[in-house]
Amino acid sequence: MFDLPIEGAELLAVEFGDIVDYFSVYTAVLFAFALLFIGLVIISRPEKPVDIVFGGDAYYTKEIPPEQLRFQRFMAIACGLATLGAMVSGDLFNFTLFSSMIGITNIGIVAAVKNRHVLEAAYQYGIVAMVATVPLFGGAAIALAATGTLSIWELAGAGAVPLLAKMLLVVGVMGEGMAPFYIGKAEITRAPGAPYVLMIHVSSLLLFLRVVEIALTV
Amino acid sequence: MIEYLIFAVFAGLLLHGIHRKAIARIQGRPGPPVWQEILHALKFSFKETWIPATASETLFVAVVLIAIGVWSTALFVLLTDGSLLLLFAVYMLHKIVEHGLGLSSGSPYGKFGAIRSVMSAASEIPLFATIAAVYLVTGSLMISDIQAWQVAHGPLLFTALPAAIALYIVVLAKMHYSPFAVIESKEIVSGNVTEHFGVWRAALDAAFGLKTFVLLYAFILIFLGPMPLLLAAAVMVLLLLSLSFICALTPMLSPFDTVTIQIGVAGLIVVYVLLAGVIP
Amino acid sequence: MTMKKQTAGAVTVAAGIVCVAASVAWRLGLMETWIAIVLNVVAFPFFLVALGLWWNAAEKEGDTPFIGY
Repeated sequence: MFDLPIEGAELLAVEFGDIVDYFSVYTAVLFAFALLFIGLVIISRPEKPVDIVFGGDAYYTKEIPPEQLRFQRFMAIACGLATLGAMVSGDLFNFTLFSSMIGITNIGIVAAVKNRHVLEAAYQYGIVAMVATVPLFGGAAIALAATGTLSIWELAGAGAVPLLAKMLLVVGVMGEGMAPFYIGKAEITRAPGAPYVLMIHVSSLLLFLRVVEIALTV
Repeated sequence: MIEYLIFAVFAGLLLHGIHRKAIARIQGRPGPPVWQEILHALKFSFKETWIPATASETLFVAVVLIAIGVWSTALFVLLTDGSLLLLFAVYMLHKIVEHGLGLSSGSPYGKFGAIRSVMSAASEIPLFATIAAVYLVTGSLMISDIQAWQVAHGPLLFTALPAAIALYIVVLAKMHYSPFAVIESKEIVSGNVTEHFGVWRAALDAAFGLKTFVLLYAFILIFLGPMPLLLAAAVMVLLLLSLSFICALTPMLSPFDTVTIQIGVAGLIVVYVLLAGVIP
Repeated sequence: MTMKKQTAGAVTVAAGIVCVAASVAWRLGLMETWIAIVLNVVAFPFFLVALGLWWNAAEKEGDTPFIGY
């Protein structure tokens, strides 16, 4: 167990062969939060967004068709599970893998909406997420090349990982967690399904929080 | 423990009241009494309450509970001298709460508030991440270590002034009537809390009171060092009054200006961190 | 979708008991700090919201709410 004065005490290590995940006070809180939102995705029904008809007093509410609901819910749960993995993973390579899985499932949540504008947006996020895998895995690769290991257990507190690798990791995570891109476009106003759309933001923010912790630790 | 929570809720609501009073006096109005926000929260809690027909029921209620839970966690992180990184995490989880509040109702106003919340998150979060500068100076992110460092070397406010400015802007962005408070600006009614009325609104007021208390207290602990309780309370009010002056004299910025200013400051801080800590 | 007064009252009392019991046990040194914190963080929101719902829950039929134009 490494006890750095960054994230509070280490609580628990979970071994899967030579892959050792860990919970600190910090990652345990993040893990609990992700778990909470997976629960919310499972039990809550989507909202019915109100749209105003231009040029009149009328408004109507959108309903989500059942098959779209099922797909979005599935993708949101998968996204939540990937987030859980990224929160506790004890080595850089697993972290990057889970990050890219979050990117893929995020696109899935958006792409479920059968609306031309939303689909176009999903396509563009797909390109961003794909491009972001280059700095993401590049960062991990540079860390491996410079230190000979990817295990956070080995790297913790040593300060051996070059700054460039950390910066690439952060850039990669920003591309994979696509909430800022998604929100920067108007398409979100067309995409219903609050609990599932919220999962995009939960995963993006938690991923960013974890990479800050990793960058400070290694 | 529960006594700390209840105290912090009331203290936070009182700070909101002082904030309103100060703004009113600066603008030449009499303003409401300082305990108005406490009465406000109580008033809302006595109003008839239901869940809008268009809302995602579970999420609509859950985000209110999460808002209180998130800031209770933050209060205990401060009280137990926990990790600053955890406080940062809690602040980001608050963004999820803001977003969820807006999205869950199905109202277009709420949705626009929610979108603005995530847009401003993209600029506020880099600002908060400058607690990395604190780490570079003190070598630790545990609040207890930061306190010990300040006892030995004097307040961090002078040693790491740019980081203090960044956190000050973060606190400012979270105040009511702040130039950065675009998520609740009036052209979108009440933004992300538009559809949360009655008991939901009262509970949110309590959570936001906790939030104000925690952020002001955190600023004092991180940048001014440990101090006796009464002095801390006085400094908190002074800090709040400085914020009130800015809020009273500045118009609400447009969402784009908000993001530009915050990203600009965050960029300056990154340059500072690189120059001060990483390159030498 | 309104909660019955009895249900809200029961949740308030239960959550309140958890909060107070955890705080008292922590004061007396019977409970570790982190357990007391977790219990408080989980129970306090329920306490606050259920308290509000309890004291404004109507025991008679209310008016039809305004449902828009």
